[in-house]
Amino acid sequence: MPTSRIHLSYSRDEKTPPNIFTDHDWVRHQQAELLAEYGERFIVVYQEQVLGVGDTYEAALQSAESNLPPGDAEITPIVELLRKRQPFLRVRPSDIQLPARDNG
Amino acid sequence: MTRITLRVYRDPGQADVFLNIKRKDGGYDKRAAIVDTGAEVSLLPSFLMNVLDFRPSERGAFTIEQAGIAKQTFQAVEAYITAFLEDEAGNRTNEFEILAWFADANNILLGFDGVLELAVLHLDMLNLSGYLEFL
Repeated sequence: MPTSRIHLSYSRDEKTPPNIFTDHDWVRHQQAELLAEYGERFIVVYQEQVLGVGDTYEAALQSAESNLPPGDAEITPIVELLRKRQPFLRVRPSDIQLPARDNG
Repeated sequence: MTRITLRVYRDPGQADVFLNIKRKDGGYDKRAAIVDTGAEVSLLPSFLMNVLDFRPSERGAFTIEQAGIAKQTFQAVEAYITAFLEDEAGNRTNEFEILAWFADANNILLGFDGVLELAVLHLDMLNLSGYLEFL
């Protein structure tokens, strides 16, 4: 039975691979472009490349499995859910009473 | 004292920190969280419930009404997760248990309960730097 080359579960002492930080930065900086290209979906990113896309976490990983870089080395991607960002997260749905204009 | 360097972004502004969260398979999931000083409790995307190890709290599943999010109520599951923070230089905190709500979200929001309340937060948006310091 083939073993996945996608490494997502790390031991307690395993240092975080550098690409996890840089890939996270890349997704943050490319968020608008990624949203435009893939929509509000899960993406699997490794070394600033999108390897997999899916409507669920599992589907994105499955998509990435068929798009791995050549070789037999393990890869350490990140899995992100793309969503449009709301400028304010905590606004109550109340009407706002505008202050009366001072015409004096 | 352990200082964990934040990853600070502009346009839109955001300060992230990396977590290692205990998984169901015994390993750890490495994932960024947004430092959220407006959150009493940390929030986790519900899709991670299939991946992460968690201990449901007595409250369990519940609906939050008027939680401050426009025209929404949302459902959440309250649970404890086990995690530690880490930065790119390899600095790590001790492992601790965090009370969190699993909900339909795309990012982890790191709130006060069990985490930010234990730390000094420094954020310098002009120089895009910051840290969380734990005693």
